[in-house]
Amino acid sequence: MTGQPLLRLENVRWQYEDSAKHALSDINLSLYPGEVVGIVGPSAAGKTTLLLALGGLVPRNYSGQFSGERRVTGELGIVFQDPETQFIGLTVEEEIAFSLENSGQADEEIEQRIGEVLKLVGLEGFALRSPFELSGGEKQRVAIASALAHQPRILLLDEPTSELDPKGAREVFQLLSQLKREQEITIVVSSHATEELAQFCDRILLLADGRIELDLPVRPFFGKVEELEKHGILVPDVIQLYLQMCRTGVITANKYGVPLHVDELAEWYREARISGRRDET
Amino acid sequence: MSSLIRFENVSFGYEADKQVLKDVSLNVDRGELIAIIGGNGSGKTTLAKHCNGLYKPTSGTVTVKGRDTREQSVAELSRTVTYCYQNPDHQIFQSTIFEEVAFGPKNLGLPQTEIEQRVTEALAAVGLEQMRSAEPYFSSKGTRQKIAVASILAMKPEAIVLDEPTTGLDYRGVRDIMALLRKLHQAGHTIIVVTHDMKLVAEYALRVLVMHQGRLLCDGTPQEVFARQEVLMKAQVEAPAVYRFGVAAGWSEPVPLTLEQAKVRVTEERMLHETRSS
Repeated sequence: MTGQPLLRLENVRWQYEDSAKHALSDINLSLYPGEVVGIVGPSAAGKTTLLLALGGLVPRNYSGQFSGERRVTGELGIVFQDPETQFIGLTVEEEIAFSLENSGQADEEIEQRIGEVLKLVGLEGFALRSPFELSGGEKQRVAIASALAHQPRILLLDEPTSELDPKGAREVFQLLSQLKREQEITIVVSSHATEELAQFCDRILLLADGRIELDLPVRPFFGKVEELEKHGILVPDVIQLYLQMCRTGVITANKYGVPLHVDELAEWYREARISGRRDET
Repeated sequence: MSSLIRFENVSFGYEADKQVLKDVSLNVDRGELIAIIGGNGSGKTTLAKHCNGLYKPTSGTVTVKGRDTREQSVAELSRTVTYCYQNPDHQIFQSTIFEEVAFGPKNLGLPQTEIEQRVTEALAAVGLEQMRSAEPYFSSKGTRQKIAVASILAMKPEAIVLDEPTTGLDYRGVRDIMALLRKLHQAGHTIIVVTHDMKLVAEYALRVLVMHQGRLLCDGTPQEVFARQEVLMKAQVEAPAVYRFGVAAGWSEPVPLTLEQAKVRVTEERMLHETRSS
């Protein structure tokens, strides 16, 4: 990545009060404009804590021992796992307005902004609905709309799809892809859904025991199969199948690395079969 | 195999125009391992809750071992079929893991030695025997899910119905729970799982019930269900990645559903290729 980082954590260590060990150790991390960064790791690895530290909520809103430095330029938005626990408005419009009223903007401006962000997340016409009666995917999109209302340069999301059904999860990942393309927002998202992350992220971090064990562009990241399996991370089936095909000589290893989705592997496989037949004749 | 749970023309709903279940008929034999899939509001949880009388049909009948669920209490039915909530915290309320798992057997009025033995067995089955004195609430979500399953095992029901038991777990947690369910199935229990995870359906289920708008849209093997694109669309799910690859690659039927099956196909293809070339 080129240019100046938008956000930097340098040598960050953090220990929650009443905890015997560090939740984060030796964290060095820079986020650049427009990149999409995934965070994977087993339960209790510190994924949520890392997002809180990126957002500045750790140490600001928690008691504990913090050392290291955080530098940030530009607005941040944060979306948590279960949006429902954060909803306070009776309507979708109110929900988004609450997040803006604290920023001291004029009513007209707020109204215009609400219209814009609802359009952005594909929820036009939802302004007067109750956030509580929406589907899981729609609720999460309202939470994302509230975060976007502040026009953040960085959006942090903590397991935004873990409580959603497949349709809701697809809606959220499609929205994030669209934001990446159209808004040039830097997105950081933690998730166990490695199949989706492989298709969507530019770069992925593996967090284990509060440390960043891997920080790589997406293809080299998923090439580290042994390391991922050691930490209990699901390596997507498409990648495992590709490696088996390489081992048995069905296809030759691709110079760019592992495939990131089904269609990619299917294309490589068809090409290998065609050139295989050509060799025979 | 013999019938354990039977639905006959079951409908459920408080208002005629808002039926959550519509004319569902099906039979569950002893020893089956079934996945229930479907989108939000498809009726899959409602269907699951009819299996042990948590919900009773507004028309039609559900029978468990030949007896109408309307004629029995949930407590009675739970000895045969137990329901495990989606959120383990909905059923965890005791101060130690041992007490939590002992709660059900105590309510059955069993003698203390029997309770002790059942709890020990159930905790061993889920791999939590070392944690019997720990407080259930302070453990990880995966552990709380295992506690919920252990509480059910201690009741020794013939059938266990689980509503999204792997939601929110990391991959190790998912694998542990599914390995446990497979072990229970092999030990003779009937298992019914509501899930959104098609990879799990492909790897573990022997039969799939697809719900759509309160109706049983499709009832078949994973192989049959994943081959029906229009059914998957209505259920708002995608076939597992391996299956979609097989279709895109033009593999012949039956298209592999799991990574293991696909690896076998790759090896076979390689051997065929070598035979032809030599």
